[in-house]
Amino acid sequence: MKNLFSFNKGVMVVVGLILFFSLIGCSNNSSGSGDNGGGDKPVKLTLWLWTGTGLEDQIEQFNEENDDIEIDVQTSEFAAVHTNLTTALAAGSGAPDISLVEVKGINKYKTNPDNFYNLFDLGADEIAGDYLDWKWKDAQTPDGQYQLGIPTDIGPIVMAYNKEIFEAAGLPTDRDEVSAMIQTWDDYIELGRTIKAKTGSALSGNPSRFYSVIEGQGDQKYYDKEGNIIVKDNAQLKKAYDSAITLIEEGLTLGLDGNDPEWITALQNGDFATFITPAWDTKKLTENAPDSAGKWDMTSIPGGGNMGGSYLTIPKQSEYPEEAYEFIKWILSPEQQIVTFKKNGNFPSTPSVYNDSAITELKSEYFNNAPVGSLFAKAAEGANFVVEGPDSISIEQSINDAITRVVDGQASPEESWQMALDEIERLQAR
Amino acid sequence: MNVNLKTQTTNKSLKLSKMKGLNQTKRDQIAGYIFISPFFILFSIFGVFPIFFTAYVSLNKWNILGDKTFVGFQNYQMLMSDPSFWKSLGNTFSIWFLSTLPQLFLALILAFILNQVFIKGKDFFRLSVFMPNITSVVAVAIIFGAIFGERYGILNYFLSLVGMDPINWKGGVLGTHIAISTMVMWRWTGYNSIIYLAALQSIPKDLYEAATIDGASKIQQFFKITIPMIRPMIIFTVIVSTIGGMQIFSEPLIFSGAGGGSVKQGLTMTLYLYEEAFTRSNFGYASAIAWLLFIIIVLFSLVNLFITRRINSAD
Repeated sequence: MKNLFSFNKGVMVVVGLILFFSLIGCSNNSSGSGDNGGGDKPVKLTLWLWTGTGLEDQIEQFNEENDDIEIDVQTSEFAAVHTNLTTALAAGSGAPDISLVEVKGINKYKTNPDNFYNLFDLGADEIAGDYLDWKWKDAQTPDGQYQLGIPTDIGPIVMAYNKEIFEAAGLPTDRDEVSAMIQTWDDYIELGRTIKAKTGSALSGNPSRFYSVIEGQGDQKYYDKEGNIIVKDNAQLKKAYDSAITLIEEGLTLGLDGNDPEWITALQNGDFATFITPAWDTKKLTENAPDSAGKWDMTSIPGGGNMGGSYLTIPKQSEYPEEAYEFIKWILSPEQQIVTFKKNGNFPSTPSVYNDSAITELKSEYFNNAPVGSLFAKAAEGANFVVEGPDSISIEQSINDAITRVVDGQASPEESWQMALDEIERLQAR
Repeated sequence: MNVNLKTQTTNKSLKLSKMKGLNQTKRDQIAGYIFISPFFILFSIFGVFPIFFTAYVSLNKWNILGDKTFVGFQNYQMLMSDPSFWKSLGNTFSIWFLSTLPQLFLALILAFILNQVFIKGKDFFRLSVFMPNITSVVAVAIIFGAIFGERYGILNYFLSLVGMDPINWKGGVLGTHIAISTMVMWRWTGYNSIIYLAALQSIPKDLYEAATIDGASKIQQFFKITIPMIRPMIIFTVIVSTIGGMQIFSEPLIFSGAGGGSVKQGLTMTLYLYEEAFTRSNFGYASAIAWLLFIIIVLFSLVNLFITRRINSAD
């Protein structure tokens, strides 16, 4: 048996194994933070984005203006960015130098902040004052010591409405009059009844959206300040749920999922009269129904508020946190956020620009020349700091399922709500 | 051989002479192991190691970004009393049953027709039935999602033409299972019929000729000659469809969403595993699901094997 491992063949096996593992090693490196090519070459930073952020042009500009840093953008789907980032963080390699993370995602990562650089160490406290306070605090550990991300955009909520349907229902179409007509959510439901009776059209396509907006207007959502889950005791959630149920039971909503292709068909057919939307979601109208330009208008919702919005973070695996921070500071500066807003509709998270003429005078042709900039700015005033927690995503899913069950006639509203509460409780056990 | 090596004094032969203790058989053995080693190295890294690591992880409570805590068999205990898990098991079998039976039956008929002499342009048809198999699953699922839409789906439009009420395919359990099964059938019927076709062509023509002379009808020929002759292929397709059916993932994910729908009507076992691992980051719990899935597939394969043996020995 000794002969089996003679020197020569042994060397061959070892060389073969080394080659094999170095191949694996190489492929790991290239997907990771990239090489430092020596003194002259720029530092190459990978940046993970999801589709539709509208940042690409500015990144190109940054690359041209900065010789020492080169940003390499890698785009994938929204959910995939979060899944891949979680996996890469857990695996200890493969994470980008900079990643975009959505607000609920950042609340998941907050429980283990060590996976990211504390941006306070890189000088983030100097720019903290530029950003909305509640938005800034959302990416912070509860003790306020650890800042995981810098805010990109926020999602102030407005209401887009189909003027043709309003006209057919004998309602005013002027945006101030419409806004005056819906001072409370009860007024909104009443509006739906009128439209339904006069035209047969639905008030909204997606009842879950209506739920989320009302839910977000409370002081608390799923968690209290101590991090306890309060879904069962939070009256605001039940109120929001009951309002959505009213829409469903009276046939005022089509009961479609917002991401369903059927929703888009309904939009193109003009089958619903209003679309309550955060700034980043107005693209859904302009991109899917470009022919409807001018048919839609925009106004404020009762109470205003915010939905969603994201952050740029620097995972701990990055070798160049300073350079990454430099880039983030530039692209999320108030000046650059205005550029993004004009191009892509993502509303800035920096209040200093809300009085800038670029925002106050911005009108949208698609929405019948509505002053979208000032509408968003006004809605943003209604937003407040709401505590989110690590399981916010799955709690939200459970409640959305409860609404869908009622739409599909699978359970009565009360049963369905109880099922959601039971499920949330069960998920906590794991 | 050894004599030859010794007589040479170059550097190279010196090295080779170190192997003089080896005879040709041993060298062949070594060479053989080296040639097959890439597979075994890859398989142990990506196949064997994950299986055992998953078993280890399943005994822990592990949020992937946080700490692991050993909990013993607690995950399995929770699984046993988890309604979602049992629902996913039921869904998987229901979808498997609804898709496999009609699919294999259709494939057989399709293959039989394609094998007939009177069909012109055979290659075109053979290619056509195989095409669905190489289209992207995601594209298929999105298009079928549109076909089965409640309000604007084409299927409900046709139903309305014959005076039927629209069916909420996505919202109900049976509707979802039928829709997903249809996607599976659309994709795999052609694949199976190509396999059957190959089997059909290996049946000697004289059997049919003799049967025709004896006055047997086409249908009699099909049941008395064709089916018995291609029995091994039928068994093969049943086993492959079973394994595939237990692992069905993309179709329900796109049709019903990651959670499997509001009453979990589209939640299959692999989808549940994925959701626990990547949506909720419960890797310990997801690993426990993976192991139960593994055990269930093994049991099911054993049942298959038993039936297969019975059929084979029936000859």
